[in-house]
Amino acid sequence: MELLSEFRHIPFLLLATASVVCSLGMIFNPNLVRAGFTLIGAFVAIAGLYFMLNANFVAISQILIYAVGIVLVIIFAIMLCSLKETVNDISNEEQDVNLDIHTRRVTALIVCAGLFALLVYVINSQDWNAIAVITGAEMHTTILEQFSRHYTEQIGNLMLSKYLIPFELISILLLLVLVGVIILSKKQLDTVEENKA
Amino acid sequence: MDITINHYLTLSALLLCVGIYGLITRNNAFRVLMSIEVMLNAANLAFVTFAHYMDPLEVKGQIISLFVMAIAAAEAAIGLALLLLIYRNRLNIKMDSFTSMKW
Repeated sequence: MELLSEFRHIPFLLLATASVVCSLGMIFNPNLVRAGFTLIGAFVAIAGLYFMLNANFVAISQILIYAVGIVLVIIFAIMLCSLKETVNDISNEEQDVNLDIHTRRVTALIVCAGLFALLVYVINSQDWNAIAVITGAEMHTTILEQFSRHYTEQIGNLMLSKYLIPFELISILLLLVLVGVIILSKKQLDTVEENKA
Repeated sequence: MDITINHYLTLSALLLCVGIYGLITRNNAFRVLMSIEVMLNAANLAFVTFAHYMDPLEVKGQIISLFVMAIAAAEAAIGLALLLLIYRNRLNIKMDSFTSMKW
């Protein structure tokens, strides 16, 4: 997966453009189901960026959990509530007189542009090489050559030693979420039956 | 052209801003949920970038990004359950109609 350094910017630019365009497509596509599918494209592009950062395990997890797991569940949920007005939500928003959509858009654009400008300023004003020296990452290339193929093993070791408590907390959280989702759905079924009776 | 940490962090900032824009402007609860996922991905990208450039020995940022993924899955499950519940009760999922807890 180690690419030649002169050509490294081409896949980066392609994947970066794909992720940003697909995210924008998620926001601006008039059809809600298609918006969900463009989001899959954005997540796959970000997984490609993880491959470029030598994070193979995270990249595969990104595809499995985000692109296939979360987004497909969201698309299923969209299809379960697919009224016409729900699917073509943007044109309905524009027709809605009560909603002051233009003011909201202009405000959001100003806020986002300002935040982006601030973040870019902070990123470019920082001397990252000095920080890399402090964190001990200045021998970047040699260490990478040594360790890039053992990252998955490294993640497994750290997760069961240094990060054991967060790891177990995550498993408890997932169990609680499972029970909580069942309770949320089941309660509703009971009230539906009561309404029918 | 050499790709440095600045490029990755700028991309992460851009994705975060796109997510915030969608979160503020869209009135459909599903789009808001998906915008939150984009924002979480932007944060994850920053974590993995820092793990690659600043911490190549112990890649702690990659582990944190895996935790973020697990929490995002939990958040999506609870969020979708709530949305389906609201949809069954109100028959719409506009963010403006969830005002019964406003005082």
